Amino acid sequence: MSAHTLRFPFRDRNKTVWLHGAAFLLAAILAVPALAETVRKARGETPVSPFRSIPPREAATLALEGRLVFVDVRERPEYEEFHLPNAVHVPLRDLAEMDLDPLRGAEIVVPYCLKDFRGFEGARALARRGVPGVALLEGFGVSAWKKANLPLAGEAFGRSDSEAAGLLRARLESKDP
Amino acid sequence: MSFAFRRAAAGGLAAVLLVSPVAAFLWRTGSPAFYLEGQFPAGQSAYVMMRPAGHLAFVLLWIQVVLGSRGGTVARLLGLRTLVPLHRALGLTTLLFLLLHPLLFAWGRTLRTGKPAFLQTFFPNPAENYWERMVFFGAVSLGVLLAGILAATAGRRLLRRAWRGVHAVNYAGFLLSSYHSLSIGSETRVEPVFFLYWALGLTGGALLAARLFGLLRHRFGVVPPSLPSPDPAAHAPGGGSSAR
Repeated sequence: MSAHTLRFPFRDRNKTVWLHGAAFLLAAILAVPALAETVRKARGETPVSPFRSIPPREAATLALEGRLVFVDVRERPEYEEFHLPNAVHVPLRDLAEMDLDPLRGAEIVVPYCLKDFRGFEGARALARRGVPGVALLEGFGVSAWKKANLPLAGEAFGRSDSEAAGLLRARLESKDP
Repeated sequence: MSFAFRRAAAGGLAAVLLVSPVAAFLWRTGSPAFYLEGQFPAGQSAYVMMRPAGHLAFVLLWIQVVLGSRGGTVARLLGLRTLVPLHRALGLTTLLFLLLHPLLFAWGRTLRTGKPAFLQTFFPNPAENYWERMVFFGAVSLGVLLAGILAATAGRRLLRRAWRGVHAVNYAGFLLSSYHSLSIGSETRVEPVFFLYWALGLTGGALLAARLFGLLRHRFGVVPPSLPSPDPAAHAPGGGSSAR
């Protein structure tokens, strides 16, 4: 078959319609779970997370007592910018292969990100690996921590983990809301 | 090598490129059926589905960059007269996934926070934090790509010959989206996908460099006698496209 003897691909309207139809179908499939969630919300159904939700102040107290470990599942530059005091940094993609030693001894493991979109995926990954006591922050991730007026460590705040932990201890003891 | 074999190989390559990041997504996230059951915090399903939409948009965008830059060469290799109709047909598909990606993200954020998050998603504050900065690059990339797509559709009549120049901003849009994907993409750091994204980003950059070099050579008339002169049809008023 020589060159230039074929019909132009996609000049045929039917082929274009098929391509666009397939693309719209795939886009609709991707949007279905979000649509279903919106419908459930409109019906007044409350989403149920399989993981326990811990208020930030309670989580902070448990972390200072050494009973809770925070796992920051964001990217390295995000962790360096700011993070919860003494949080272990393991990007989401590495959770499946991470060394679980830093988590041993903790009763509760709280993976987190900014609003816990990645935090929830991290919680699922840790639960799949059999880590017990996986929980999430009530109010979701760093945004809940900030709302509870709790200090963060990192370059953005010019604080080390130990400085932020000291500040956290003082703030929890002061009983300030 | 027959043209039929080449066409099958090109189709296979496109399929592999489109499927690989989505396969990495499925491998890491598990069955998407989980996100129909409702056992997750509000907005999680929209966030998760945003990721394959982004992968599809990026790979389609790369195919469009190749067709837009070297469409003539690809068409000759495949024994076809032109790939412009394919370039145009794929344009709408690419636009669909380009828009679906941030829309699902904004939708997820809205469901999670209970407040509309569309403005925050499409006009993020880059000074807020690293994440928002990288989302900002994605938003700028989307704006640039929309301008490029509009130039090639509605702008062809309004801008006349200038539409090609405006359409070329899609290179910048592609490079910005490469940076956005590689900096905060969830699967783009998983090794096979990481190399794929770098390869696509670099080839996109190389095609832009070749295009700029060709443009400069043509503009300043430094065409060596041994090289073929630029095709005058491509620069005729209102006609032609590089995706021939």
